[in-house]
Amino acid sequence: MSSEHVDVDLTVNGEPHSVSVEPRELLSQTLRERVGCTSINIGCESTLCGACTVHADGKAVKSCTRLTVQEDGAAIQTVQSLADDGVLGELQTAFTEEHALQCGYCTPGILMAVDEYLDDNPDPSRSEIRTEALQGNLCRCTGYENIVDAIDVAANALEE
Amino acid sequence: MATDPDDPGIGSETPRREDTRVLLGESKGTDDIELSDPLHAQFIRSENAHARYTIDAADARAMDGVVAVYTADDIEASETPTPRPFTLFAAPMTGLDYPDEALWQRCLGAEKAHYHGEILGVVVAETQRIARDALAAVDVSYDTLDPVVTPQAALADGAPAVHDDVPDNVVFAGGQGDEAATADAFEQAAYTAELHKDPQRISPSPLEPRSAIGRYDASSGQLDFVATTQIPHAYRRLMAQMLSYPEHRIDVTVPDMGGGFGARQHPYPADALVGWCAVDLEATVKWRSTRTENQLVENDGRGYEGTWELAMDETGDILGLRADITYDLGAWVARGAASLAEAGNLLMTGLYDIPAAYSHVTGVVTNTARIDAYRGVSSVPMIMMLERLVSKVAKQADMDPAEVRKRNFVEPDQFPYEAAGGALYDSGDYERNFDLGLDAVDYEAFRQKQARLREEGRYLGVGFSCWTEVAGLGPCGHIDVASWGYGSVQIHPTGEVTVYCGGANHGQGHETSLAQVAADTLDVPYDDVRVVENSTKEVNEGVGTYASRTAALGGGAVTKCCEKVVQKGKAVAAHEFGVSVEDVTYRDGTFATVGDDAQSLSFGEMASKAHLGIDIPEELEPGLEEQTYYDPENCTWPFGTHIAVVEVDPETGEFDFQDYVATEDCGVQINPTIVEGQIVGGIAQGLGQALYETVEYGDDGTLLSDTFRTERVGSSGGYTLPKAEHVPDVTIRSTETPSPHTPHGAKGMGESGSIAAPGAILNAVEDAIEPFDPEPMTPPITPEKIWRAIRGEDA
Repeated sequence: MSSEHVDVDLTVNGEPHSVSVEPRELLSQTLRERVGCTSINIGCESTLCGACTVHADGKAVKSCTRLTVQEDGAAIQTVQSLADDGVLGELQTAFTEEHALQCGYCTPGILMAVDEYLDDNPDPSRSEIRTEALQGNLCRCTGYENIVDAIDVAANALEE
Repeated sequence: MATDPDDPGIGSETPRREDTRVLLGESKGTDDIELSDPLHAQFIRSENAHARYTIDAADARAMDGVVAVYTADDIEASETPTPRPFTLFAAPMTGLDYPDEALWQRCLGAEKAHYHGEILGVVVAETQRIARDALAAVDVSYDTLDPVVTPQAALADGAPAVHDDVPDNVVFAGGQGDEAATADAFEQAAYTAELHKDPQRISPSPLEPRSAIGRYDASSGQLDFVATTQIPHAYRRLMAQMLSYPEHRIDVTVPDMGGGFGARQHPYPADALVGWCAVDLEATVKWRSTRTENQLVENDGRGYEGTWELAMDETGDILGLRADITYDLGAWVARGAASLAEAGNLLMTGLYDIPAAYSHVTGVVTNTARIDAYRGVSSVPMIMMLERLVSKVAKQADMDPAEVRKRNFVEPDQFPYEAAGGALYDSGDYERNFDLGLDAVDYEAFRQKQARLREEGRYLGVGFSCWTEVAGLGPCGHIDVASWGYGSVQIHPTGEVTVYCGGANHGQGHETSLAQVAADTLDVPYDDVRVVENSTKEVNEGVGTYASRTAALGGGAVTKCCEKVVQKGKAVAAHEFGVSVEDVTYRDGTFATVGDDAQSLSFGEMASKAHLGIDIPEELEPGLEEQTYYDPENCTWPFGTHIAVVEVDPETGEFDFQDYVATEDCGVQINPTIVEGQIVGGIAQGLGQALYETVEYGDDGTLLSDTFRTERVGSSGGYTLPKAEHVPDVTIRSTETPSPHTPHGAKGMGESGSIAAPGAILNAVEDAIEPFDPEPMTPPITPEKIWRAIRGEDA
């Protein structure tokens, strides 16, 4: 294993960060350990659960299986970008009103995946929410129905 | 009952307080806690299920940044006391010899490895990455032994012994119920049904992998843990016992935790070893597991194999139930395995008035990870098999499965009802609740539609599953473990309220629901109440959150404390008014003289007076703080029925849910939104048992399902959790039969879905393909199995 380090520039939630990382370092590790983004949760380390989902240059990606060196120059957004100075956005508001979270471990990743999905699919059916919007995320607590409800409500609110 | 949405009390669907910090990305789990200069532990784990081994850690020890590598011998040689085996808490089934200390779980596999993933040693390094690199540099040589991977293999003649002290692999064996009366019932039966399709071993799989931090402060002698556990106070007690460390110098904090589901209602060897390393190195030591590590060693659930039988007379009265079960305990017998089996036996007759029942359970050890509590625990296999049998025997008798159920329900006037397995059910109206479900699926019309569509070659089916559970665990004396509900309530001089509860919130919404209970009972604004849990530093005592106990026992304790506060408040007010206590009323946050309200004192004014302590009755102490160890008379027994409606494609074996109805009765609902969340979440886990999930070991005892995957079962490797597209929308209907013995009538509602859904789904699929006269299927049922069953093959 190499101890050689590589300099990488990232913009995280609008703030510039210069980090020096091993080539093997994962984006999730860099964001959690060097930038302090502990909202990124590592549930499976294998791209299956989606709890680590962030936006890289506007696209939802699973940070647990991206190398940090691949993201040099990228603009990263985490769930902390969704609220406006502590005021919850539409999607976040719908999640609490519809009781779409229990333990909350999957929630930040789901919010980021769905935030991107709704940009491209502003009016999904319930079936599309289940098969497309939530395709890359696992939740062990809720049974998903309230998450589907929340996305449905948020999509309608965002359309208005 | 306060139902004003701006002032939520019991019954309000107010959104949860816990949500905002999660939605803002500000929640903090164990792995998120900032630490100054922690060391990082990684565990050397056995790659074999059964082997003697030697460890060469010279290369790892020589690596830069490695602080220590401990093998079992190193730990034994240290002055820090060697971690002791897990102490068993729970009592055995009546009349059983319990496993002796030889079988209590060891923190390390010292003389040999007993299962894939067992800890053989510890690496401690300056960073997590160095620790992992060092782990890779540790050379373990194995001399493999033949493993025992299944319960049947454990019982086979000449089977290898998992533990040399237990040559036959049998840890306990015994029965509950009346064996002779049950045999008589089967003699008299017109119809009998038999099933031996085993409720398979599955993994609770909370989404957050387990982790633990041990912080040792040499100057004070304080040992603090931050950990993923459902039982902070019992964790403290167990750490004290295992580490031979004074309990009053240990504290445990549980930050936000990503699920538990029973798998974290006891600590693990890793927790004790993290604490041991912290003491030995006089440092802060952190461990964070990988997903694979989590799947390897976190306890599984179910693991029942056996034969279940039901006897019915010609009129449709169920006469008897019999079960002969082999219970896979895994390699070590930890906390109360036999009492878990006992709990399922208590309620093996479900909601039915079955006069005779007998269940014999043989607990065996295998070279696999431990099996212990998982949501629904042993109620899952017992209810699943009972409900499948009721549908099967009804079919044999050509009777309607709904009618057979209604005919046999315990009647409302039979409560308290002593079930043949030993449970004492507290209250219920099962038929009224069941009828709600029949209405919701329009049952008669469904049967007509089913018959009509069958003529068109379409196969719809309906499946019932009626359930109950041992909730609100439970009275002291029910089991040999502390099982009261701890609460204390502090009233600030301003009238604001801090509630301290001995549970552990990790998704259940206690910060919200227990505040509702206190606000309602004290008649104060909800926003004036704060709830504290999850910490031995802030809460004096507690038993933890499991077995659907916090609504009944935590809520019950909070209610009792609040009632004591109001009583003292009345005495303070009476003194102020110059009247006797009987002449003071309390409502809407105000104490007043009875009848005329001539004199009054607000709750806050009373609190201020009590706190000041100058102008209060002589016999009262100043201050306003009440505490209780609430010990209920009985467990609570919530109940309900799940009804699945499916359509099967006989060409492919694929099926769709047409409907899913859950009718529930958990007594008084503190927050119906949270109750419904628990129901639907539980259904997804029960659906996982029915359709997707199975823990797979290879013939050599290697765990194959050691990571998540998203495909259906069928190929080997990976563990399939249900995804959003796999779970149907659920229609929920409720009745409310308050528990007669909890102070506010709540029964608890955490496990209905995982208990009821498997039977409902399996019965629905088998009802759909009934024209093909299939043999019963073994869960998890895949399209391939359904396709085979339709073609008369074993599935």
